[in-house]
Amino acid sequence: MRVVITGMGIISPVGNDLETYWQSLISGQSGLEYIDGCCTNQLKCKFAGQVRNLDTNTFFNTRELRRMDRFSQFATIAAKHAWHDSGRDLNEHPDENIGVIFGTGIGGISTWDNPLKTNSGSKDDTRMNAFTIPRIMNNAAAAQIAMQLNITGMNLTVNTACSSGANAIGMAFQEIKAENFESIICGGTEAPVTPKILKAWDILGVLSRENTSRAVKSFDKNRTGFVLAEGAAALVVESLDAAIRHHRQIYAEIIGFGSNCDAHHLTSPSKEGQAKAIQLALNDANIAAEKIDYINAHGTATRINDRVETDAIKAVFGKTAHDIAISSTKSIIGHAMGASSALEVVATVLSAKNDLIHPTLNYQDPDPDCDLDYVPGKARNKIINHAISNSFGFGGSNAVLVVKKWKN
Amino acid sequence: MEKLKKTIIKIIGKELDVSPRSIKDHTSIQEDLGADSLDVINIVMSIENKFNIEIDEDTLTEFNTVGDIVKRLSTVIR
Repeated sequence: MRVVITGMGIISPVGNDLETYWQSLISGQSGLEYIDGCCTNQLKCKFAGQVRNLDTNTFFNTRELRRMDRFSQFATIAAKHAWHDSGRDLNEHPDENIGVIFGTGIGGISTWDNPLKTNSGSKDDTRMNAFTIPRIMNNAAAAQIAMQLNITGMNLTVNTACSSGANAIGMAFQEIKAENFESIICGGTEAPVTPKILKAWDILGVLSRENTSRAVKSFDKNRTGFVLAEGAAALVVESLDAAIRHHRQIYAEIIGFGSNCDAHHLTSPSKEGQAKAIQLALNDANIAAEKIDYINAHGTATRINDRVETDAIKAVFGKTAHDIAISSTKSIIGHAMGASSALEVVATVLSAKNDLIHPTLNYQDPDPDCDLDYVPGKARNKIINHAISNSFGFGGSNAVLVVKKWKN
Repeated sequence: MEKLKKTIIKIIGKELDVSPRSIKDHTSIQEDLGADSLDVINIVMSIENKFNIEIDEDTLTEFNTVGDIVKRLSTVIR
């Protein structure tokens, strides 16, 4: 069974709807800003990609908000947007065979760690109460989506650090391909901009200490690491038959998924593991490497990631690696951990739909170790028939998706 | 008793985010105010903290109308 994307929803540092998100990406508008509130005096990286202007009260009543951590609020709003975008009525009670598979890296951490920004309307309170566990648990986001949209099928949470969202989308792809489901709402969510999590990432030495909105310089010779971000992306994926039967719009087709583990190190990447994941995805899609026109990179801007990812791409694509346009969404919005890969799949899908590639922001000086085409500076028009989205998580968990342009 | 009732109503209002004025003696926290088991735990915790008492689980099941709660608590709170 062929699998297509019929709806998408976004909550991000560069916009809380699909159109604003895409326009910000292609115009290279950075979403990174000085962190509001407390604790920046203890941090070397004082910038983050924070979600702004999100009026949660228009989506949930007070009773619901009190039971929702920020990561669940993001996920559920993004899912509602995606659901509506797929042509469905938010109030209809679907009798279709539908499931939810959502990814997150650290779940409801903002309930546990004193929130920097209050979870709007949720009456945050340092006191522990009966809502603490239901808000923190990793599967709260998927559960909230199911309750809000009355989706009674399989409800899973994928937790593979920074590849969580991509693995969730990949698993949804496999379930529909196997004809176990007609439609699945999938994606990733994260709300990690809290004092202790910021500090914990700071200690790891992977965050940029430049403290400007242009700090994330993926693949640049002088790259200094990433900046933490928050947000969510939701996609409605469904069988082509169901999409046609219900007259859904179709953004793109998913044709391949590769998922594996480096089995090497908790935090250091492996060229072999990443190359294997890309190859698995291409094999699953049953297409030759030279058919790929665009790679949405993992592109974290750490010294090691960008070099290893470049090597992995060269290992798979050989000489044609130099002909492929590659860009890093993280250079614009930062690194939203479990949500990042889902946000990047959305960017990949919109690139394939619009034949337009967003730039790698802040790229200036070529690194001899990173010698591919990273689409520096500004967006580029290019016919994109096939694209891949790379996501590589801590724990060595790699996930790669192959997206194909939809042609009527 | 009236003072106790006023305090209880204030706590219920805060925990369920409803105006204390709309809470009467016969108001059921579950049926009228929509409290679920999680809300009841939060109300009990607030009462425990306020009066520095412990409320056992059997008592919890008797929590329904404001009048019931006040009556039940008047035996342990002076």
